[in-house]
Amino acid sequence: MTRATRAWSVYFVIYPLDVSSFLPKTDTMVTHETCSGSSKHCHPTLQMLDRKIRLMALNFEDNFAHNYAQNFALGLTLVLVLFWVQMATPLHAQVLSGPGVVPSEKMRSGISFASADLRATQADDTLNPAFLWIDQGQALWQQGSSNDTRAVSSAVTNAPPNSPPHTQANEHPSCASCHQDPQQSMRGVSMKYPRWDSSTSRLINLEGQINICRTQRQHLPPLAYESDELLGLTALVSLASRGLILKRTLDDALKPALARGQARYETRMGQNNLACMHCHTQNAGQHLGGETISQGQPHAYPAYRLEWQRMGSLQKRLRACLSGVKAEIWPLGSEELTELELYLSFRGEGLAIESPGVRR
Amino acid sequence: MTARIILPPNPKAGVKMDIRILIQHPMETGFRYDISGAAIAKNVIKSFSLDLDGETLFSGELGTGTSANPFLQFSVILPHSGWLKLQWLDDEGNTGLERVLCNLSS
Amino acid sequence: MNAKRQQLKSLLQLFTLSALSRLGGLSLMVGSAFSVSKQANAQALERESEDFRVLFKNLTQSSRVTLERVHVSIPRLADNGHSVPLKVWVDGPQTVDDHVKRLVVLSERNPRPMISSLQFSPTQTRLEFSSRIRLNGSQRIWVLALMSDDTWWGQVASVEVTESACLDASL
Repeated sequence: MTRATRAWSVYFVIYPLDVSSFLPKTDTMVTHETCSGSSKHCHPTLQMLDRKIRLMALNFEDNFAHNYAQNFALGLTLVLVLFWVQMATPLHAQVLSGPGVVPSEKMRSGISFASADLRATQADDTLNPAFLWIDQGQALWQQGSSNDTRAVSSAVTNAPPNSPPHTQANEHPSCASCHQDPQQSMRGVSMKYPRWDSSTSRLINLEGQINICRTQRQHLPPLAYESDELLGLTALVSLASRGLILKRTLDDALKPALARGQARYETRMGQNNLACMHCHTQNAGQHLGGETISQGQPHAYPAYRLEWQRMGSLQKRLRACLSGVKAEIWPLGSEELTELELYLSFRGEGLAIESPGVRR
Repeated sequence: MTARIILPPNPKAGVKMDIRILIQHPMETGFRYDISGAAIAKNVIKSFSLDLDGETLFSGELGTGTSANPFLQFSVILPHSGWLKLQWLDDEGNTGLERVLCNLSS
Repeated sequence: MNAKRQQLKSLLQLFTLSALSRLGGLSLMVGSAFSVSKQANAQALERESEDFRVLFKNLTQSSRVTLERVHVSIPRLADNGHSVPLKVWVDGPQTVDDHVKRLVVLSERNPRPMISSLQFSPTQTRLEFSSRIRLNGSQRIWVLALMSDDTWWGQVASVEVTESACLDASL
């Protein structure tokens, strides 16, 4: 029985309850005329008190009892409805359980573990070096290809009237030609990834989707993982979701991949024989060397990392962790890393998107 | 390689303002090695200058001690409105140029 | 003839820098008559110089450095040695008569002690400069300011830099 069902059934029990049935009935009362002899009921004061009490009981029964029950039921209904509404929209995905999950009240962004300088750098767009990549992403968004320096609109207007229909500009439409302003059209998009692509039966993350657009719609070569161009575009798209609360929808198609990702998060690996959860769930907030361990949340990626001295994707960060435990480092774009990305996005529900983040 | 020259939103004449510069550059130290064990060649921005309509406001030499994607901020009272031009040169001989128009309100 | 002699002189200076002891290799360079190429060489050598004490001495020409007027703000414990935020400010308005001509940031333990060398024009406002620097381990950094009257002022600050907990070898 879910919590909601329990809440509703309590309501249906309390409301029809007739509280007055528990109060003494008038027909069981004894009147003073029937007393005689040495019975304590014959004492006049007691009889008077007895009558007064009975009158109060009658009064209560007539005027308050039934209304009281209804008012009580109404108040309780209100409380239960509010409680149910709050329970129906959980902060934390109810789909996830297991030792890797952080309870929703304990969820913290990685930036809360960082120093004041790092927080200031992330908070100010004029200080955040990630915007150098976003500038590149903006330029690439407008252009047809990274080599094509002409803007699409000017190429079209410069074309002579009887030019062949497939001009350079038409063959390689820019992102802008379909999606216009990314801050509007891409709002909420990055948090829908990784998604399941039923046509190819595989998990696609944001980088994969951008490359699908590039190859199939723009007829351009795909961008390499961790290239400045791809980072620029993923950062630009993720920036459009900044401030939104990470929320995922679990379709049935995602369930097997999610389960595999979760298994990976909870499985020991590498020479150090550690699972992700050992550091990032069980010891988040503790120190490793001179650093504080974060919860390993994905909401700030792609991020500028001081360690790399450049921007990097979430998969690059996961590879750094694999290196840290001396495990086999899965290649960028591999199923293993994408499934882990999927699990992390569900695990991280409830946090506000911070991309582009700044991290140590 | 992109760069950003960031000015305050409403620069006013005669009022101190901070100019922030961010240049995208790896500032390769020459001390790192790639996966094959070969040293990665040193390549840093060795000199830069910021001028206002040709008059140099601020210039300098950087080295391997400056972080990648150099960030430079300095405060100034601009004598007049004009084009702020940033130029830089790195070890490989690449030059960079970024301009921004600064209109001072009074 | 004179030009050739000067050329030979600069070549000799370049040679003696590498072979000579601490005592005066660069000062010859700094003291000689300047042509543009020589100045560029001087800057390059300063930048590439690997010895903090020699560099310090030759920059200041052994003149006194007063540890006042220059203020340095740098975190006591750095997040990461690759990027440590540094803020410098120098008291006094930067007027034509009294301004900072040159600001030098030096590291005691970096492989190349010269972090940056900056030239300023009179900006009419207090000099405030910020940047992000690399530090190769815990050390002290020196910020030296050469004023328009050719006096040196400065400040020194200590920074602790720790190694990253999980070194990223994934490239």
